[in-house]
Amino acid sequence: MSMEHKAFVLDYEAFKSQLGNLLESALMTGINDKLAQFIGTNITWLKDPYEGEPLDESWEDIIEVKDTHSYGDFALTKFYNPASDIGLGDDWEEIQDLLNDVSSDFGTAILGRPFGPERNYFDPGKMGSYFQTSGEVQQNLSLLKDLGQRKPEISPALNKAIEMFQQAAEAGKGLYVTF
Amino acid sequence: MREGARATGARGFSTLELTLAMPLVVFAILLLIGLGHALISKQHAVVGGQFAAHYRRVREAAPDAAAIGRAVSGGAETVELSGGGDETLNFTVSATPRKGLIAQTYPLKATASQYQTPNVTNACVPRSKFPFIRLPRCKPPFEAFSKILNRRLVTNIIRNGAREALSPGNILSIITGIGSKKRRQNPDGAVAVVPPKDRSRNGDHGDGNNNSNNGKPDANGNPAGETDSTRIGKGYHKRKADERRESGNYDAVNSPITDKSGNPILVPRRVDLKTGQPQPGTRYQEAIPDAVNYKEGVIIDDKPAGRPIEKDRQEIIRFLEAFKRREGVYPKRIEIHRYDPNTEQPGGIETYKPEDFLPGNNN
Repeated sequence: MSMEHKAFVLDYEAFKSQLGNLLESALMTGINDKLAQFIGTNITWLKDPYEGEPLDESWEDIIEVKDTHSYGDFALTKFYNPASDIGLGDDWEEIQDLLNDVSSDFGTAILGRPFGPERNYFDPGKMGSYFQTSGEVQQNLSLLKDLGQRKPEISPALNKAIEMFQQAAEAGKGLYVTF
Repeated sequence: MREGARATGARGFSTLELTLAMPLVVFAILLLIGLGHALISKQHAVVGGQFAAHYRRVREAAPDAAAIGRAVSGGAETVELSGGGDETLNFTVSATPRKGLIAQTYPLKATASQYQTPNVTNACVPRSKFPFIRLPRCKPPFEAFSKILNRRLVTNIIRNGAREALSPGNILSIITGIGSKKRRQNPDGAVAVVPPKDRSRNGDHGDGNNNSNNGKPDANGNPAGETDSTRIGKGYHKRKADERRESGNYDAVNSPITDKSGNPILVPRRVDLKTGQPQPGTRYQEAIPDAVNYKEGVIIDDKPAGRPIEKDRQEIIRFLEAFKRREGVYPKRIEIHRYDPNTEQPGGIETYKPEDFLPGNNN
């Protein structure tokens, strides 16, 4: 099962205001100068996106593929902790299937929305990356709780997802979901 | 006048020839009808043989021939059944048509068919213990049941059953309720708390970020807000899993690494990459590689091209540790099978040693 659902509590509003435009513009143009500049300026807050270790000046050596997605992957760590994965792991497809069985609208709850231009969504892992605002986290939490009450037979399967949203909701933050 | 006579003559000959050939045409039509009926009877006999073999395997007694006759042709044929067996079930069914004018006028010969199957619960050929004999292995039977009757659902049924004293009817309704696919339909009274179209206009993220398909299938048919790369990743993994199961070359495909008793081995989700110890507060989980062959000591995982391998180090460490818990040693190699995330085409195989991932090696 190589598609492992990972989710991180994300300060979506800060991401949007500080990095959103930069990242979107770089995804459209393929020019990464400003992203690299952002990383240089904010290096004390950034982490290695793979293990969550603090970055040092040699950060660029870690990047295997020097494209906008990889730079964005590093820059985004200002707004979440890569070592604190609260995702659904291997269970995500089963949960998504259960939600889709209820309604095709619900399957999106455990992912979110991709970011960037439609032809080049931000996707450093090449298997999809998604974002949820703090408001969407609250709404999805309510959605799953309500669903669990109405359909007790699927409630245990939803617990892991409810727990994920609960953690983000308690922090008043959004979510970054990736694979 | 001569021309007219010739034409009439030609027509006359043609009519005469057709009239003379009529018995031949009728014979050909009757022959075709007869062959068709023979094929139908033959097929009924095959189905009867399958019916008898599966009946015997499940109930440990062959059905009577009349029951087979009723099952396959509604009693239109006289069925005779012979055969049996222990390790291999082998049944021969003869079907003789008995309805219709021809069948009642002429004594027709019976059509016989033979059906043979191993006498095992799932009818799949077990994987050979000898590596040079590569028998094809069946896909798991009743695959849909494994999804419907998954561990969580069964646990839930037992828990709810104990708590709320569910009747057998209620339990059945839970199972059939889960199994009956009603995709794309909202249940009565169900309202998405986050109605995607109401979240924002024109696919906005509510804050000016236009990057959504609103939870609906997009222009490429991707379901529930999935991007192409997620959809392709899911599809590729499923296709490869089916191929690998069918090849019979792997001990586990897209299923947890288990101990020798078949119990899934739980390993820490994240370890400290310097010490190898579980990170504080980390949860324990199953290790589920895309494929594993214990004897050859190989773990296979599919990843899209362009994905940094560092992203998957913790996951691969889980595979390695679970493998070692089972076999006592680490596998000989880890193969990363790359695929193109745009086209799903295979993109080459990278081979690694366990030391490339294990804690202590941070190069």
